[in-house]
This record gives sequence, structure tokens and C-alpha cells, in this order.
Amino acid sequence: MKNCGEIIELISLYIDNELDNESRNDIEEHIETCESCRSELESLREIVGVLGSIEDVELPSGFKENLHERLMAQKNDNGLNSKIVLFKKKPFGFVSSVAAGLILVVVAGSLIMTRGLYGNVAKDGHQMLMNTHESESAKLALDGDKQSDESEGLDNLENYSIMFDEADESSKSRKVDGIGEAGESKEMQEFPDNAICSIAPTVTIEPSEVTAPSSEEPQVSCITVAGLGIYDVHIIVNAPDVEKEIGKINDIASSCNILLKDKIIATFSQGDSSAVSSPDETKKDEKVLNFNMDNSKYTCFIDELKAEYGDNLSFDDKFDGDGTMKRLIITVEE
Amino acid sequence: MSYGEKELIDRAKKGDVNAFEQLIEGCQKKVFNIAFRMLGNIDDASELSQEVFLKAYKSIKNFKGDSLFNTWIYKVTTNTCLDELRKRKNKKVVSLDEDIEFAGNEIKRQIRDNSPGPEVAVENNELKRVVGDSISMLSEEYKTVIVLRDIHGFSYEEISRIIKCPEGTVKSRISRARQALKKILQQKKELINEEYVK
Repeated sequence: MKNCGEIIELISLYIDNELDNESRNDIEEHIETCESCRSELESLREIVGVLGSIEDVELPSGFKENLHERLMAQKNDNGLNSKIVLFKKKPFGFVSSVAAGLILVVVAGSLIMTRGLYGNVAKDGHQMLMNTHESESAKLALDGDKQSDESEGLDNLENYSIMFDEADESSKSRKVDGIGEAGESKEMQEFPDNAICSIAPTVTIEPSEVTAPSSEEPQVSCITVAGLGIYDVHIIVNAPDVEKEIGKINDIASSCNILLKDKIIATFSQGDSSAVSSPDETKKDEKVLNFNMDNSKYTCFIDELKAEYGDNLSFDDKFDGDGTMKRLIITVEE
Repeated sequence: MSYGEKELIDRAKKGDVNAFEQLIEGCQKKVFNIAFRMLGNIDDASELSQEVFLKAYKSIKNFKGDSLFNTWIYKVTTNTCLDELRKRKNKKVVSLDEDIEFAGNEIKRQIRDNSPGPEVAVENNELKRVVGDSISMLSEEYKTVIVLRDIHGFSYEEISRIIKCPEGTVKSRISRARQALKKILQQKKELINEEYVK
């Protein structure tokens, strides 16, 4: 038999039905005879009852709208930092770093061997490329620049990143591989043997491949650097069933491995030049979708969108010249 | 965790505000009400709940999914409330019946009592108000468990996850918190009775 102190300890759990049968029976037996414990139980039950009947207060007006604005502001703050494109280094990254080091040593070694420490005796065409004079380097860089201008898909070079040549398992690297191969093959043509190729005003270099060293001198293939332009793509969707189109666009985007950055519900007045005015008077929802993507994804995305929407897809020319900011308008008639 | 929720969480982790808003849709009111009962006023509760959601949005990357998303949000909520209460504790609080020194003489501070008289207090709504007010007099620990258990009906298990305490601790804390609340209410009752007798 439990005493009053023990019973009081258990009353709270008894109210919440959290006791095993034995303890519950103990309490029920006890309060039948103990007046004070019974009244303790009653008053606690009453308090718990009142607490449970306290209704929720409604959210203050404008709470969600206010929160939305603050979240968007927060997101945009983060957005400034999110433009850095990170490539996952493959496990062989270490190997390629070592290879890079070796190449430098070998190249430097061969320079010293063939031209002497002061590097002023050119022996053959290959070594010309290895010329250490500033002007030659500059010329080389210029050549690279030209190449980049000519090569397709490399016209946007505001952002540069280190490129790893090994084929990454993820499709993310499609672009990377694409450039790697394109750049490589091109440069291989122009610099058949030893070459350090550099595209545009970049500082970082990464060896793309080390081919089997021949017996006489190291065969070094191109050191490739590629820039990746990050496009900020806004799509204005103007359709009777906006959500359906957004779903489609999202599917297309994910097929190109692009993720929707943001969906903004925007209402444009009919006169707004950025919106396509709808022929009927009924108000259509217009939404702006915002994607960030690199060049190859952009190409993939636009191709797919063209295939899906054809003439319904148009470009806002105002934004076309800008380079990284693209604005597309999709209008689906009823 | 449902598939839909997992997908929303993944999107929110990438910064998708829309997905995040869908995630918190179901718990916004509760977060706000927990904050309201913990802090005792609407404005502070509103500001604090916004802070809770901003904090959650910023740190959702760290959400590992080993608890429910809502449990995680309520954890952030109670922690933020407790931080706020502790901050307030450090600020000087002016006691209403403290004597004020005025020109060398002590005078009684006089504050008009806006609370309705005892005759209204018997009404159910009033009882709720009195009980609600009494919660603010509880210690932080007791307040937290009373708000979670008795006002919002969380289970012992959920509370143990939210406040990161073993269930046994939760059980005894709820028991002691209710006793403490009962004591406060009894004192209030005695006060009211004294007034009534006057």
C-alpha cells in the first residue's frame, strides 16, 4: 500500500493515463479512502482540463506575407554566395595533382636541359612553345583567347573554374567533359606535341591528360582551362493552367539536371513590356521561374524547351545582350 | 517521414522558399502559439516565431531527418523561447509594488489594477485567463512542459525529443510543474478571496 506522498507523485501520470495497471489500481484504491489525495486529484484534473481548453490564437494578420519577404531576403543574401560552382573532385584528383607537379618538373627539366638555365637557346619548334619570355606567354594566352572565342559554347567566360578532366560519373559534368574534349582536341591540333594551353584571363591551370611518355621527351598534352558562364534564367509563364506548364518546365529542367531556384508569383499589368499580354480579358496567372545554370545546361534546356513549346517560346531581347541574365517568355493559348 | 515531406525538405535545403513554406504550413500556428504562451504577449510571439522560421530556413541543411520535421521545428521554437526568456531575465525588471524613493521620502508606487473583479473571475473564460496568466509565473522549465503537454497536448515521448530530456525526467517535471501551477492558482484564489472579504 502506497502512502500519500507516493500517490501524489503518481497523480500527474494517472491523469495522463501513463501508469501501468498496478499503479493505477493503487491510486484508485487509495483515493477511495483518502479525502486529501482525492481533492488533490480533482484540483489537478481541473487545472489540466482548463489548460487543455485554452484555444489557439490566430496568426497575426500579415504574418505569412511578412515571413515570405524575410525568407526571400534571406535567400537572396545566400544567393550571392551560391554562384560559385563547385565540382566534385574525383578520387583521382590527387593523382592528377601529382601528375601536374611531375609535368612541371619534367617540363622545367627539359627546358633546362635543352636550353640551359637561362632559357635563351631555342632548339626546335616544340621548345618555342615553352618559351619563358613574357611576350611569348602573352601571345600564347592570346591564342587561347581567340580559340575560346571561336569555340562553340565557350562564349560566356565571366566565371572561371578549375576543370577536372576525368569523366565524372554524374551527368553534372557533361558540360565539363564537353569543354574538356572540345578544347583538348582543338588545342591538340594546334599544339601537336607539348603545349600549355590557356584560355583567356585565367590563373588556374589543370593538366588534362598525361599521355604515355615517350622515350625521348615527355609528351604532354594540353593543360586546359575552361570558363563556365552561369546563367540566371527567368521564365515568364503565361498560360491558362500555369501550374501544369511549370510542372512541364520543371521536368525539362530536371532532364537537363537543372534545379528550380525559385518560383515567384508575379502579376504584371497588361501594359508591362516584360509580360505578354493575353488576348482575352480574363486575368491569367503569370509566374516567373528562376533557374541558375551553366552554359551546357542552358543549351540543353533551351533545346528541350524549343522542342516542347516551339513558337510559344520567345526571348526577351532586352535581356539577351546582357549575357548572363536570360529572360524567356512562354505563352500558351487556350 | 512521407515521401512528399522528404522531397520538400530536399528542395528547402537547396534554398527553395516555396518548398520551405509548404513544410511549415502545418506548424506555423502552433509555433506561434507556443511562443505566445511562453513569452506572454502577441507581438513578441509574432517576432519570435518569424525568427524561428528564418533560423530553421537557414539551418535546414543541418536537419538530418532522424526526427520529424515538425519535432525539429518545435525544438528550435522552445530553444529560441528559452533564450529569449533568459535574455529578459538579465534585463532589469521593475517591480510594481516596490517603493519608490521620491525627494528623499518613500512613496508607494500606485498602479491601477486593470484585471476584472472576482465576480467575473468565476466565469470559464476568466478561469482560462487566470490559468494562462499563472503560466507566466512558472519557471522556464516548468513553463515549457506545461505549454507543450497541457496546452498543446504533445505526448511524453514527443516532449522528451523536443526538450532533449529522458522521458523519466519529462514525467517528473510535468508532475512538479502542475503542482507548482496549482500552488500559484491557490495563492491567486486566496488573494481574490481576501479582496472579496474586504
